[in-house]
Amino acid sequence: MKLFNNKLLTFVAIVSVLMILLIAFTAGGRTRPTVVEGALGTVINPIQNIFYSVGEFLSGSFESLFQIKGLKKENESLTMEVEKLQEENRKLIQLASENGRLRNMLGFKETNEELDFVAGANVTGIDPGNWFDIYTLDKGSKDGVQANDAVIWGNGYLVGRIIEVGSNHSKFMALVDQRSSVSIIVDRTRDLGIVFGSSDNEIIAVMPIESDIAKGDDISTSGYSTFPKNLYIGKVQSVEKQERKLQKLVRIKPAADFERLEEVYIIRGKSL
Amino acid sequence: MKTLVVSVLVLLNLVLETTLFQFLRIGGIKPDFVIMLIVSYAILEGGAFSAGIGLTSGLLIDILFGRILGVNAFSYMITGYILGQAHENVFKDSILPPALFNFAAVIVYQHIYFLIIYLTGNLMNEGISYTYILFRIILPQGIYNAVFGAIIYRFLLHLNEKKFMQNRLY
Repeated sequence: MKLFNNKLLTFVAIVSVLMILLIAFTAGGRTRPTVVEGALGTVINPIQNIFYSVGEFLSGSFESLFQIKGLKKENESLTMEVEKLQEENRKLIQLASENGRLRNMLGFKETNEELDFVAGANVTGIDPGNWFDIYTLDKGSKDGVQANDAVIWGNGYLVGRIIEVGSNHSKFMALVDQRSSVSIIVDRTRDLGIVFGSSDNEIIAVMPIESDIAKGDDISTSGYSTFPKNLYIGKVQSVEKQERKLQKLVRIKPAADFERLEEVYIIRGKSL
Repeated sequence: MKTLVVSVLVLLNLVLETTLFQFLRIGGIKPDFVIMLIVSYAILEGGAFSAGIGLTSGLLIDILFGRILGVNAFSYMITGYILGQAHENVFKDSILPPALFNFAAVIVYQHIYFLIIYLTGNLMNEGISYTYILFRIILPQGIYNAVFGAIIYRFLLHLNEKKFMQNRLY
């Protein structure tokens, strides 16, 4: 057979068939890494951790070099903002206490008490491709992390969902990943909807056409998906009416900054 | 020695790409350094090297980050093999071939990748269409890659001319 004289072509063809079989077997998605993957992850994770911190440091110091010029002006505007915020804060504390009293009166459960804080974790790496947004964390099943736990950032902003857990590391899929979908509720109107990730750090929701959603509305999780209720997601950026499809396409800017994730918390709704 | 050096480059690239190079993103798009390695060694050494680099890098990325095993491995390997065919017909000193090849490689790789993702039903989003992906991901990344790829190629060309690189295996 003349075809088999080309060793490289034969090799590439055989490996291709193997890879296609591998794709076919794993196309449904996995939640636990195999032994080999686990071992590889355990070795490479600490190394990634070091380089990621170096990158954070470098980009941080470059930024501060350029910022020195505008520091004085920034300081003034910041002082003003602090005063404004303190004022706002006082109002909010009053509102919160009022809200608490009303809640108790109505016998509602405090929402946050339903949450289990599993662990705090550091981001150690990001998927190198431009398609998906998978992050690796330095906490795993040893720390009690389980698949489908929610990952939050800062003041309770939802950033993603754990999809795979190794013994000392885990991966989570960010909200902005194209394959991520979350059931949401619009805080003002109580409309329900579903958001999907998109590839440019934006998330997209599809809402029924009669829903009264507008620019600037706050969006939270609804509690109908694997996520706990009332986790803040972000603000509506634009609403596009699609008459033909009887729906509204809503673009949402997530509250979390996905390019600067460093420390995140893993949480889970308390099982009843 | 050559194989050893290239293996180290592949591993080093993987660690750097998932960490340091993440800070190179412009508008969410990052150049693909695996493709730069593949293209450089496709021009310098031919299909066996570039397909091999593609296969190992892809497999490692799949294991560490992918949900579906083999997608990157398959796409990178085929890209490497196709580009390796041009090995004997290219001027190795010019800067134009690596730039053009990088652009072409990104297009080939992303299309194979898109096809697999599409066929396995992993592309399930309202806002994502082929034209969107072509103009927002593939073409910008191609240009970005062409610029970076030419620079990386110069560096790898000089490395390849070193004496210790003459021996193929040890």
